[in-house]
Amino acid sequence: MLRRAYKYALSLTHDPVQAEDLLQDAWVRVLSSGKARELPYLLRTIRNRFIDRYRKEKGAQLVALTEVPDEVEEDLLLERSYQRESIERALGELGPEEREILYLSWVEGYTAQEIGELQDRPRGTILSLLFRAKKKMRKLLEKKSSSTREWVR
Amino acid sequence: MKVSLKKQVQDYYCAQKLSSEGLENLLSLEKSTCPPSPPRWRGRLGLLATAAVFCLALIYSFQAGPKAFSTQAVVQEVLAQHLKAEEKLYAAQSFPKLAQHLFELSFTLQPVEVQQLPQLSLQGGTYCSLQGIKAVRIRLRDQNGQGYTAYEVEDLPVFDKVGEGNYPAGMHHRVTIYRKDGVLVAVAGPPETHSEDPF
Repeated sequence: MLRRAYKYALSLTHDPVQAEDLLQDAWVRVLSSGKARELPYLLRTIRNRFIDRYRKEKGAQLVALTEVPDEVEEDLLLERSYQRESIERALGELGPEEREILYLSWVEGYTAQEIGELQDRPRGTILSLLFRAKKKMRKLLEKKSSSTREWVR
Repeated sequence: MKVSLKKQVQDYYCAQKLSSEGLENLLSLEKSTCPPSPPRWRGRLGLLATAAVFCLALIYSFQAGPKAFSTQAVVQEVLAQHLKAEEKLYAAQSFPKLAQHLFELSFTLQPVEVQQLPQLSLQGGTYCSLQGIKAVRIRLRDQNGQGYTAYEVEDLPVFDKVGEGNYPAGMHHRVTIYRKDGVLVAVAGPPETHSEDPF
């Protein structure tokens, strides 16, 4: 559970040190609360602590949601495989919410409904955010890929 | 060949691991218990210390009046907590870092600085109470690995009768009390060692 929670914290912070720090902070709160030490509660605590501490500090903005697609394509197929560093850089250029939602959806396998329950948001909002996150991720990777090719030439 | 972006992101996160040190730290937090109030005592020493603190606090509360804490009451409580081995702490290596965790305090956390004590390195701290007043308990270590416990609390009028100085606290321990920038600081260290003259 702690290892999974760490990865979730990492999806928010995109920084291993801050992720461990955030996890420890949330874990102490969970232990002190006397409530059951369950993953959903720990994830929610991590999210709340992140909002309190990091997002306020960095002034990160919520992604504006103007359009809600009816359906989100299940996956995106890329022309090539990327090195881990490229994936890491692209993830780093996403906003915390975009990374979080990709992580919950793709790595943890949460449905839009479940993510909505964790974040207290409607399913439609989650779908929209997921759609944008995937699109942005693909663009970032393709952009980096083309710029690398140009440089090689 | 087309490659799934999802798979690549999954692979990235699967490769990210919580450090073994971090995991151990979190597990040790789970094993230990340190609720803010009242603390759960462990072992005979804890029970004895509790009883001693209670009796002394009772005696001194009669002497000092209903709303003033005495030096000895503070000294005994600090020693009793110092003798507790395990607790949940916010791990931090610097006071600014610790202050980030303990942001609900009504006072500014002060670095522990006692001239008579060796150079101490911070281990971490946690919310607690001193004589029922919200405080911070801080764990430190010297270069030999000896543990020290510091209490920091807002220097409210109820602590007016608590004197500054270095006081014997029993079991060969001493507690140093001082004030700095509106904060009352009490520090307990390892027992004093008296080298006996073989002649």
